[in-house]
Amino acid sequence: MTTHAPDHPVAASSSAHAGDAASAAGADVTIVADHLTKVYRVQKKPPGLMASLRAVFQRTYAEVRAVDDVNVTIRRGELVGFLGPNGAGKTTTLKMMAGLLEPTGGQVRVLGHEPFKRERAFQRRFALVLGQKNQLWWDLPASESFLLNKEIYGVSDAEYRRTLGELSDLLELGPLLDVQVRKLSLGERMKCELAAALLHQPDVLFLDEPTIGLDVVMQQKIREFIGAYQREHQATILLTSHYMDDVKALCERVVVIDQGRLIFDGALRELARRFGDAKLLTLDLDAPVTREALAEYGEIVTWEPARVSLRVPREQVSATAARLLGALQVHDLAIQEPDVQDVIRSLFSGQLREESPHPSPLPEGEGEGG
Amino acid sequence: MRLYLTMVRLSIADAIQYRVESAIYFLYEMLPPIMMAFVWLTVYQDQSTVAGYALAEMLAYTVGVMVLRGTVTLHVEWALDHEIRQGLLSTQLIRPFNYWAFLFADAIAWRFVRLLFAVPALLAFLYWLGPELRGITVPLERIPVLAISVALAYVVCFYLKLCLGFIGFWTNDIMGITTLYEVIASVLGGILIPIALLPEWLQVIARLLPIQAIYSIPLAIMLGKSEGADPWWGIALQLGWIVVLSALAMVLWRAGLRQYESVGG
Repeated sequence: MTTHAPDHPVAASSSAHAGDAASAAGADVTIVADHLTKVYRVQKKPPGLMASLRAVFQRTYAEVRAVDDVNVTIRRGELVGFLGPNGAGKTTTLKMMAGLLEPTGGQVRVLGHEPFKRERAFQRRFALVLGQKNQLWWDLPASESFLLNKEIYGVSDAEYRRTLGELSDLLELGPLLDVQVRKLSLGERMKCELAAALLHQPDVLFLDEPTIGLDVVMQQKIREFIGAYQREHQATILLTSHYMDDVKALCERVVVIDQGRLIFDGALRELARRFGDAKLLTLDLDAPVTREALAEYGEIVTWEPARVSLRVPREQVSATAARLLGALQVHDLAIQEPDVQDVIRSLFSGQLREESPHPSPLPEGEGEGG
Repeated sequence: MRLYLTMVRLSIADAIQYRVESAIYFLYEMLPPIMMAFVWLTVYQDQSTVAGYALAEMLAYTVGVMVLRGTVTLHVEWALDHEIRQGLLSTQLIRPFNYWAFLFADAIAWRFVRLLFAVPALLAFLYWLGPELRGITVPLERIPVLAISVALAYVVCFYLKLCLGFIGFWTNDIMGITTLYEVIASVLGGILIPIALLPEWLQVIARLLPIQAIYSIPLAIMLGKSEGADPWWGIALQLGWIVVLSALAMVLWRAGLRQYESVGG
């Protein structure tokens, strides 16, 4: 099975994005998700003892659409950030791409393979790092797990020495290799996990929360490593992270998923423009003003008697500014674009849904963005 | 091949880290036959045979159980249960290798480490019972078929324990199942007493279980007690169980993976 997207009419016609990519350079398309859907059947556990007892005999199930009709195309060498609040469906999507989960609907192709078939030829070409699980042998030094992976992936001795040398330099593994994994710190362990996953030089790398729980310095190191590795190997990397700094530093392109649905796919700065549909008005006042008096102009972000800032919908900014200047004794007024970080923070915390006028900011099919 | 040697080597290195636990499990495996030896020494004070077994034969049987418990009784179900519950199975499934072979190699490694304890214990046991065991010989021509039977017992045990371990896909933990298995195996599987000592109707049940292919069949071959008189019949029965259990394991594995996936892999 080495067919690529163009041989796949469904994939090629699925969305404008997939179509573009497929027609432009079929061999370049590395990951295609086409109407990808995953529905879990979860048992409902009602509260209360009686209800629990009843549930033993009469199980009721609910369907959860963890991933809902997601279309995305990723080309060779792209480093894409995969964002969304907890439970949005990021990990489920990665697991479908890695062949751990079978799609309920639609399909996914990675390197021309259907991941769930778990073909050896496919498995030799990708790696998945789950930040919260480890593949290293807990009671042995990491170097032992490396040797096992060398054999599993059929890496030659010479290649192994070269790759391990390179990874050791980049990640400063030297002193860690011969220490029992259980004795390593979380960050040291993550470095070793990454090295173990990269020994066979995968073309595609899925990283699920690679910096979770790490301190700022270690996050920075891991982040730099991922960037350096991607540049040197032209690897295709899909990364989920909770840390905005990871995404800002590494990803030009981000895909945002919320409640299983893809709601944005494009450049990071585009995200701020698209979702930051409000601007920030900051006023220095000569005379103090009450919160109540301010509330009619917009959402109060900060309030000190003489200095306030307000969120105002983009299209009303100038009108509101004019009204404020007329009504209050304004000493200074500044209008700012929202910070990417703030936008994404509100995306993550789910505020976006409540703030934006329509529940799904982008109508279906417009998800390609930039 | 190099892959599997590396697996065994790593598993041995790993198992050695758990030598204290290994020592405790070693007692768990060895104590039943040792206690039975005391029981038999008492029982045979009043009679010379029990169900056709002379004292020397009965003691040889307990020694045999000890050897089999030390070498053949692997515990792949514990490793599996751990991997399923911790979700570590996910990191195995995405790698291009045969996971069952990995479990097989891992089980061999644990057995190998267990021998460090089992061999001295066995020698002490033999020294103690030596005088009673006089007169027991295994004819040379029976050695090859005995060796085959022991090897097959290992494979039967592997697939049987694999099936037990796969139950972990549906339950929170498999302690209940493994405990139940131990009880059944002790009484009906020939660990404590030869199946021939059971009441008629229990013997029928015991002979329908795969556990006899792990203990009773090799021991019957060793003692020339092959109930079917023909040791090759015992071998055939073991092969039959390997076919049945490996098929069952495959069915459980496929269904179990679907279950594992449905809760999110």
